[in-house]
This record gives sequence, structure tokens and C-alpha cells, in this order.
Amino acid sequence: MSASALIEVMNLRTSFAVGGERVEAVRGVSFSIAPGEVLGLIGESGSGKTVTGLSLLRLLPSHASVAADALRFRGQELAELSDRQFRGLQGIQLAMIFQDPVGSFNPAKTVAWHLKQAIARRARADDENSDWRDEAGRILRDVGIRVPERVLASYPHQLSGGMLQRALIAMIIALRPAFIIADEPTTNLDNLVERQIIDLLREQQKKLGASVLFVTHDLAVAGEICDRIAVMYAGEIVEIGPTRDVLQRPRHPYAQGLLQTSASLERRDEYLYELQGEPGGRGAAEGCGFVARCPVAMAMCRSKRPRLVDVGPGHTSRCLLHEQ
Amino acid sequence: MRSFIANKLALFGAAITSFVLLAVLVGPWLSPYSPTEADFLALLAPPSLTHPFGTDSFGRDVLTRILYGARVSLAVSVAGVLMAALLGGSAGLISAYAGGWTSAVLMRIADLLFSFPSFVLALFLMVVLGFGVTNIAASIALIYFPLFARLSRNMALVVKEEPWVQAAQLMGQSTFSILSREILPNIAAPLFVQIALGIAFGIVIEAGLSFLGLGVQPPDPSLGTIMADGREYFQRAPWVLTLSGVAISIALLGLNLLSDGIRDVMDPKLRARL
Amino acid sequence: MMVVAKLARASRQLAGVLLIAFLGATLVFFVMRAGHGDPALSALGDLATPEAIAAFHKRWGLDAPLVVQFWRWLSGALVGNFGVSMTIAGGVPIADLIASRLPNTMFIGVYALVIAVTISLLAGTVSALRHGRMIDSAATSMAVLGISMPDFWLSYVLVYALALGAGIFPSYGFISPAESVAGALYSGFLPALAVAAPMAAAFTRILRTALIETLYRDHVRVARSLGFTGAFIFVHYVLRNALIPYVTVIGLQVRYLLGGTVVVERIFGVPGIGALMVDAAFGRDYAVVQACAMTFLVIVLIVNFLVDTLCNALNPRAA
Repeated sequence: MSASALIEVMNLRTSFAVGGERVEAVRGVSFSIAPGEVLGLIGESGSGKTVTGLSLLRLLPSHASVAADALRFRGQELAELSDRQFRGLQGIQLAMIFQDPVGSFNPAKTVAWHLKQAIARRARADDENSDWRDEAGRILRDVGIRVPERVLASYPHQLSGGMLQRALIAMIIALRPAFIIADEPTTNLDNLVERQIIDLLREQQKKLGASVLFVTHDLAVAGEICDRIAVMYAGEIVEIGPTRDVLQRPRHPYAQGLLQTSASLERRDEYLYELQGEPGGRGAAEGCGFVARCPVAMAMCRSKRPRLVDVGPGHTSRCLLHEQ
Repeated sequence: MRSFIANKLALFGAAITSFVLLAVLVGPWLSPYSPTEADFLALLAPPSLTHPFGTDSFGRDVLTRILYGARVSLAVSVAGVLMAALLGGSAGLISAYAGGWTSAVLMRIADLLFSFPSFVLALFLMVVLGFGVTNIAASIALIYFPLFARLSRNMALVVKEEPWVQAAQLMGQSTFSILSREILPNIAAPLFVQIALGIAFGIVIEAGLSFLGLGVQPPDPSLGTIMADGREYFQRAPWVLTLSGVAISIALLGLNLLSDGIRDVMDPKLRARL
Repeated sequence: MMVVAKLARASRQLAGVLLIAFLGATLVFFVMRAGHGDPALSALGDLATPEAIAAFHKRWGLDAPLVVQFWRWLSGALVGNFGVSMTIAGGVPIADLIASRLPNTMFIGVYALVIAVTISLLAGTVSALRHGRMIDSAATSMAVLGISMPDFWLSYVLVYALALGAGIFPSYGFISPAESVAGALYSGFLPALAVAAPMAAAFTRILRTALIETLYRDHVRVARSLGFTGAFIFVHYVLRNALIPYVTVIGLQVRYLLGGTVVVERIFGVPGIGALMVDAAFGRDYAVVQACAMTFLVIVLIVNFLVDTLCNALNPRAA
């Protein structure tokens, strides 16, 4: 863990109380993000990637419990902050872009109202006054909305998903946070719009110099925008390293499988390569979590739990194969 | 069905309702007293072992009168609501299938009936038709007519226009079979909820009318007339008014909890929350 | 552009309302006549001579065809002339009777509504924010009890507890707001509370459900992620969006509210329209009953119209 990291997460564990039982969604996730770096978090649904983000920002419902050995922002241990102190950081320093732009807006209020609140929030924190309308218009133009006045006057239900996602990004930009979690920001959008939003995100991230945790299941998208990539399976990170290394030469069987599937899709194979077993399916409590679906599983994989092992510069993977 | 049993309040409601039904059906036969014969030796007796609910100003056993009265109230209410369901249901069906003027007229009538405050409409009808038990049932029927008309009309429109229904018809399923196998299960729950709530409110209307003297006429017992009696000597013998009120409340509580339970079971959103 | 559309919509709604009012007048008039035939017989008694009846008919224009009578009644009603009370207040213009009593009923009605809304806003909010916990179960149970108690019984419970027992409020009699607002608030508290209780219960339930549903919506979570305070989020994101179903239910319940005042007025001796209607029913004064029924209908239609307008204003999708 480098001392200059913006975000440091060590052994994050999140579980939910469901009908008397405890369900573990995140089982010991660790990573760090440097200032200005984009870390991708890739996984299927149910892998725990969204819950990881929500855990960091204290956005989970009350029946969730979050624990970690360390959860640091700019060196400050977040767990020590009271709810009130943490709220002071939310939005201003730590922000999140959610998956569904339509549902993210208050249906009873105009876009103008939303931007005004965001700008006012920032202004309050910085102790400055600003004419929010000018700034709102400027920011909307910045995210590619050419006629800001019309969008400002509109209610959420009157705008398209793509437009709303731009407006949402505009809100985040108005806040100028240091760290942004983008949770599948383009999943609900169609391909053309997705392209534009990805470019927009990349451009704005560079401008703000913000660190980003980019959560997605789409390898291609991750490849374009992330500096490093972490692959998650069943609540654990199974491989993490520089983007090019992880995407071109993955070392973990799951990551390899993902890549093969993606390549197979692109080649338009007659029979799509798939990983056997159910998505998110977890093996026994001891042993490797991927054993039920792993094409190269060994006998000891059922009983011995693998740790993260170095497989290259800045590149680790969690597989017993590497320990041989 | 399983989740219904799991919902404790709903079970409680079903239990209370069953208890009330049982008491009302069987109770009067079990009672040694007559609901209308006076016993001048035991006027306004407080509750005791021989008269668990005390006696009223005519010496009549209050518990017996309540049981008979509840029978009347329930019968009137159930009759009224069922009539409303029948008339309203048919009107809604006709409206959905006939369309055009027929539908417009029927729905306007329903809207009109719905625009009067329920009790006022009941009161008006009592004046027009005359006071008495059967007319109360008719009033309740007219008050609830719009609700059932709208319910059945909406369901019938679903039958008419939903593509999956047309698909089923194309595949050879008869309309009757579609109605019973696909439509009815969907409509059964909201229907029961409305019927239960209707019966509950019907009891209130009947009691209110009788309480004012415009419904069941004394000496016939009805929960409302007993309350009217009790009100006159409220300070001397509060048990008459109080216990008849409690009786009404218990019946209503059972019906409300029951309909809540059915509603909770039906509503997937609420279930997911639990 | 949107203003024109909204005006058009409003005028269409108004036309619908007027239609129902007209149909209501028709219903009230013709049904009353059908049920009680000749008003002459009811006013003069069964033993009236044919000459007396004929004279009565002539005097009150009852010799004209029924439709003409209806038209006269309706046009008279539109300018506030309902005719004259026959029996319960011989000779007094019905319009005067209604005018003197309407404020009392409206006062109790509005008072009850205010009480019900206040209670439900508090109880609904508390039980939604603490849902699943003890206080929520307590509030919900009270709400179920609230709708299970007929308001006329609750009246007596209140009288027993607060009037006769603790002596805080009067158990009978009503001071008109025209004389003394404070007096009206004081003497009207128990009747208003009796009518309000079942309303409060129903409102609390719908508000609680609407709030809970809104609490879990995505936009609330987004608001939290932006660091807005809890109170701000509650008012603007949660409550604001729960208001639409809440106000809709309030509109629907007004019918029960008005119906409840009828009996409660009798119990507490409030000289309102409800009490008037009951007196007229006993006194066989059919013209008065008719007029009261129409008055109630018009009140409900006006309230519905207001509620619809409010709902449209609250809902940005209604355009």
C-alpha cells in the first residue's frame, strides 16, 4: 500500500442479514487507488462489485454490516468518522454515478433544481457564492448538451436516458469530487450513446484529476478507460493488475474464461465459449471460490483457499496454480 | 396461501371474523333469553354471571340482543354488498363489452352514486323508500354499486384487449376457461378485499341509520338500535352502549385485518419488502 | 403552450363535474317524487279533502307537468331558491336554513380534516422512518383500531373520557364560529375529533405505505450519496413524492368525512346540515331532504375538483 494513495481498502467484508441468515457479499477485498488513477472493477452480477462501491460510501441499507481492516481516504481512516462527518465528505470528496440515470433524479423536480442543489453544496463547502444558473449552463455545455436552457427547464421524465446520464455527470462535475465510483454508468444506454458517455467520462476525469473506481461487467469498456483492472468473483478479487496485462494475458482461470468469452463473442463464433456452471456460483466454504466452475481445478482447490500471489510487475492473481 | 398463514395479523383477522360469524350463527340459539321480551324484575342490571353483558331498560339481556342484532346487521350488510357485487359486476361487464352510449350512461350513473357521501345517500334512500331492514340493504347495494362496477369493468377490459388473452383464444381456449383459469384468480383477491371492506362499512352504515332511528325499528334488535337505547341512559348504565360499540368494533376489526392480510399477500411489492 | 393544455383539461373536468351535478339534481328530484308522490298528501295529511289538495297544488305549482316542476326547482336552486320548508320550520325558506347551518358543518368538516392530516403526517412519518420497529407496530395497530371504530361510538368514548370524565370539553352544544371562533374551536373539538379519527387512521396508513415505497427508490440513494442532509432528503425527495397518493386518498375519503358528520352532529348537538337532514327525514319534510342531499353532492364535487387540481399541480407528469 503506497502512502500517497488516495483510496486504500484493506480486507473489506460486507454481509447482509436476510431472514435470519448472514449472506456475505464481499469477502475480504483489498485495493488502493492513486490520485488521478482509474481502477476498473470487473465481475458478473452477484460478484459483489456494486456492493463494494456502496460499502465504501456508506450507502447500504441498515441490515448490512460493513467491516474492514482499513478504509482510508487521503490517509484518513473513514470508519472513525461519525455519520455527520462522513456526510460532509459525501458528494464533495466522494461521489457516485449510478447505473440507472432515469431513476437517479427526483421525479418531482426539474434538472435545474438538481444542478442548483449540487452547485450550492459545493459552494457551501468552499464558502463561496456563485451564480448557479451561469455555472449550470456552463457545466451542461461541458458535458455536451448544446441547449442547456431546455434541459434545465425539463423534468426527468421528459428526457432520454443518455441526456439524463449527461446531466447526472454534470451534477457530479459541479461537485468536483476527488474520488468517483462509477457503477455501470453505461449499461442502461444503447451503444451509440454508450460510446459518447465513455468518451465524456474519460475527458472529465482527466480534467478533474479525479480517481475513479469504474465498476462494470464489460471488458471492452473497461479496457478503454481504466489504468488498472481488478476482476471480482463471488465477493473476492481474483486478479488485479495493469489493464493491458490483465486483459491481454490474464493469469486467473476466471479472467481467462471471461476473455475467451469476450473474444468468442467478437469473432461471432458459431458456438459461444462459455464458462461452465452458474454465474456467481460459489464452491465450498473452504477452498477456492471458483472451484465449481474452474476448467483447470485441482484436487487441493477444494480444501485450500488461495491467496493473492505476484504474477508480474504490479500484477497479482488468486490461484493455487501460481503457487506451484 | 402459505404467506397468508405466515402473516400473523391476517390470521388474527380471520380468527376474529370466524369467531364473530360463529357467535352470530349459533349464539342466538344457545341463549336462554329472548331478545325482545321484557323482564321488569331485572331492569338495568350491571354485568353479572346470569347476564354477562347486563340488561337494558326493559330488562332484556344485552348479550342476547347483541347476538341477534349482530345477526341482523351482518345479514343486511352481506346482502347489500352481494347485491352490489352482482349488479355492479354485471353493469361493469356490460359496460366493457357494449361500449359506446351504454357504457357512458352506466359509468355516469356509477360516478353519480359515488359522488354522494355514502351515509347521505343511505339517508336519502331511507327517506324515499321508507325505514326498514330491506331498504337498508338496498341502500348499501347502491352505495357499493360503483366500486364493483368499476372493478368488473376494468377486468373485463383486460379480457377484451390484452394480447395474451387473444392469444389464448386463438389457441382454442374457450372464453369461459380463460375467465375461470386466468382472469378469476387475478381478480379474486381484490374482489374479496372489497367485499370484506364493504361488509365492514355496511355494518357501520346500518348501525348508524338504526342508531338515528331511520333503520331497523325497535323493538327489533340491531347493533345500532341497541346503541341508541344505551345512549339514553349512558351515565346510569354505560355497559349497554359500550358493549354494543365494542361488538361492532370487534366485527370491524376482524374484517379489516382479514382484508389487510389478503391485500398484503396479493401485493408483491409489499411482500418483497418483508 | 402547456398553459393552454392545462386550461383545456381543467375546463373539461369542470364540464364533467357540472354534468354530474345536473344528473344528481335529476336523481334527487325524481326519485324523491317517485318515492313520495304527492307532497300535498304529506303536508296536509292523508285525510285532506280533494279541494285542499287541489288548492295546495295550485299554490305550489304542483299542477304543472313533472318536468316543468323539475326545471323550476333546478333553476330556482341555481339562484339559491330551494323553496320553503313545509314541516320542520314552517314557512322558512330552505335556502336560509341551509345558509345558517352550512358554516357549522363546514367548520367541523375542515376542523376534522386538519386534525386528521396533522395526526397522519406525524404518525405516518414516524412509523415509516422507524418501520419494522416497535413504534411502527404500535402506530399501525392504532390505525387499524381507528378504522374499526364507528365514529359515532368513538364519539361516546371521547365524551366519556374527556367530557364527562375529565371535564375538559363540553359534551353537548356548539358555539358557532360566527359568534366566537375560540368557542367554536373549543366546543367543536370533540365532534371534529370523532369524525377525524377514522380519517386519520386511513391517511396514516396510506402515507406510511407511500413513504416506505419512496424511501427505497434510487433517487433517494443518489441524494444521500451527494451528501444532502437527512431532513432535506426527507422533505424534497421522500415526502414530496409520497404526497400524490396521499392527497388522492384524502380526496377519496371526503365522502366518508361528510357522512360521518351527519351522526356526530346529532350526538353533539351541532346545528349543521347533517342534523337538518335527519330532522327533515323524521319530519317528512321532503323538500328539505332534497336540498340537503344536493348540498352535500355539490360539496363533494367541489372538493373532488380541488383535490384533482392539487394533484395535477403536484404531478409534473400531468400535462
